[in-house]
Amino acid sequence: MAQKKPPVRGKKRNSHTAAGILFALPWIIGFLAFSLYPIVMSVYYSLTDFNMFQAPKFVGLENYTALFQDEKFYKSLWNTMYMTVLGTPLSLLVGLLMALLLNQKVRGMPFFRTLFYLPSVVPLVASSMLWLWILNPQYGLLNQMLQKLGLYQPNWLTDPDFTKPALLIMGVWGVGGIMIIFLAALQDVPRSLYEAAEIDGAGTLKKFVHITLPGISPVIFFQLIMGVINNFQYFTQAYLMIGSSTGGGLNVVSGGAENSLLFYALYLYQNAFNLFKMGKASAMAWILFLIVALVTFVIFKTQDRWVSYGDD
Amino acid sequence: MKKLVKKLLALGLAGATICGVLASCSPGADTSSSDSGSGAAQASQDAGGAQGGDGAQTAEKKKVVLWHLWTGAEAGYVDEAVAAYNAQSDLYEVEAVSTPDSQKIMVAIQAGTGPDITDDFTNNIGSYASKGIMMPLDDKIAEVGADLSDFVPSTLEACRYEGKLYALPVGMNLMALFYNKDLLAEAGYTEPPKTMEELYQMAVDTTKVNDDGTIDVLGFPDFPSVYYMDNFAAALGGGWYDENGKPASPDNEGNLMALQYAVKYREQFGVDNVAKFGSAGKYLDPTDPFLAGKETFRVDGNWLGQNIKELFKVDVNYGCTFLPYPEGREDLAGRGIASSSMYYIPSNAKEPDGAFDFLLYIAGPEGTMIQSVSRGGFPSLLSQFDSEEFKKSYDSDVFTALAESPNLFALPNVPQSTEYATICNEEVELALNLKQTPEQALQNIYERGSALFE
Repeated sequence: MAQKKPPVRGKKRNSHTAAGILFALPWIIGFLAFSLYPIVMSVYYSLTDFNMFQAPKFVGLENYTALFQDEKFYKSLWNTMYMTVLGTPLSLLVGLLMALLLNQKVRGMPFFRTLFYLPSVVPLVASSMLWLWILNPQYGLLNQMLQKLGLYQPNWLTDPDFTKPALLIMGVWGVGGIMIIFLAALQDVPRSLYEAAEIDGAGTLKKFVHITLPGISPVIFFQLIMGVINNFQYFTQAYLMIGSSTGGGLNVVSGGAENSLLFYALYLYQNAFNLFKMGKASAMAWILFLIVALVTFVIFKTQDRWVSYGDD
Repeated sequence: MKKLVKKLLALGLAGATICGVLASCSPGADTSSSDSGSGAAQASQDAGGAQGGDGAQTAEKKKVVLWHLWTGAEAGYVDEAVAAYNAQSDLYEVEAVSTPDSQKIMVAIQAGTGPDITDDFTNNIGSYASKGIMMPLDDKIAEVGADLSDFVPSTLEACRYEGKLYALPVGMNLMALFYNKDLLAEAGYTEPPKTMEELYQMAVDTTKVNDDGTIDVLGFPDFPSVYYMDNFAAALGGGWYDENGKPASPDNEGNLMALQYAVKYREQFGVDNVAKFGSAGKYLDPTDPFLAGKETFRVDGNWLGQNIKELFKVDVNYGCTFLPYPEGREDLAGRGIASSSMYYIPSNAKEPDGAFDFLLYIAGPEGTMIQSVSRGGFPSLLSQFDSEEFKKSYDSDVFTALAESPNLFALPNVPQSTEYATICNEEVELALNLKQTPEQALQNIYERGSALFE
């Protein structure tokens, strides 16, 4: 015989709710003060002429229309798309290849895994400074190697055709984080599937295409989304490289060689903190939000075609 | 349901972008500045505490917070001046923090967590004052009856915006032509150039090229590139502003000549090679080509000699003279831009009276002597021109003559100065990379600049 649950009396239910709210209150206050309020204010500021020191002056959509007529806005979008479209797949590909290598049963594997992961624990500023030396056009390690091979030695830091590829190379060096997630995903693919495929006569490539890739596709999907978002916010490495290529230590508002390193986040920063155009910078942040939301939505729309969750 | 959750997750991630971008861009989160900045700040705070001698702040004294842009040895000079002020002040105790990031200072001032007094350069006064960042000083000066007659008039003028005084200068910044005597002697020259035509010929004759075409010794004063154009344009009779503080005409002969010679040198020795040389070394660093004896000519300031001899202690046999003038235009000798380092009080300073008291000290004879003049800086006070400390400083004779030159001028303080300078840099860079002619560059600067000033 089924037992009836005793009804919770109104007073007790209210006290449970109050306790719940009380426990969640620190987060709620933090969210309202430090997330929601700035987000709402940034919408307002994007509609104003605001330099952070004087009262904002409402200008309607002027900041947005000015941006759409600003050549440097499009230049920054192009540079950012370049890093996103080329940098994201490149990082995923190299990360996956390294994970595949480090998933082999070889003696001393923990050592190799540590070795390959190590660059990603180096702070971004430190690794950027290191790479500025490696990429030094006259004395750098990379160009000296290219010289020994008899190849062209680009001016990585100041030739607008090579500054972004230099950053891509720097990015590949730091794919340890991506690699480690892929490694975990690879180890999660059921062994039984490989054994069954081997019995059916499948080769290495077929097993990779039909078992490994579908098996780790949710992780590829996750890394793709994160990679795209990170590349849309590309900032620190470019900021440091510009500082170096303009002579070092001189306070110059620059987007690097012919603005080839003027990434969206950097241009936003310059507008906000160099030129004190917080209204324009807020408008840029919202445009970026819409672009990222749209790109994320499109990537999500495609997932039915290539992401396999196994239990669906 | 699962898909809905995933979509929410995706939108959440996208939403995080807004916060992420603003957070990653904010100077506080910018690892390049915050890491090094805070480290330097802490080190300076420690040093300041130690040098202050007393350590703990005296209870009855009011605290005045100073953030300054200097690091390393220069930060030490500021600390010494602060310690000297603290020792003689009964009312205020200044706490100095090295903050080598002007954006960080700006954001802190805006947030109301900034300093009571800070420093910068006079070329930013138009931009800062027009936005209400700086406190006008005229009333306070009248209140205490401060005598400003000892200041070099052009330095004080550079601290004004629309007739109001917003800062006080601490040392002048003048630019001259430094040259490597040994490299010139190797090429058979015993005297430095007087005209631009002579300089160019010497630059070509002293340039040394490696087998692969890269440059071993740079003859032309192309490093650091940011110093060349503004100063040579001024020396050759040009400048980016006209007499009304508006963009200069695209026909300005001085600007055109300065750009044409830089382009000519790059055409002769290769744009890539000159650019490679420029990005291989770092300004005022052991890799600096002038310090390494790999640069014949260098346009630089009155601080270079001090850096060469006292800080880097390198054995470069150098000389110093005026920047060159065009052939047949002796009347332009000694033409150049005068700017200054300056201290100002933010408009929302919590202790403005204490900040003003310290400002009068640091810009006065004792403060400038400790922080600047006895360390190779050029005085902003007329009475210090004859001081023993200044006479002992490197190249003081050349810079004194330059400071007395009737052809010296200050840049106008305009709100658009940062953006206009960016436009000039962008267009000049395209010309230097041979992507457009010097004439096109000057035309574009004029058009973009005029639109900005409208």
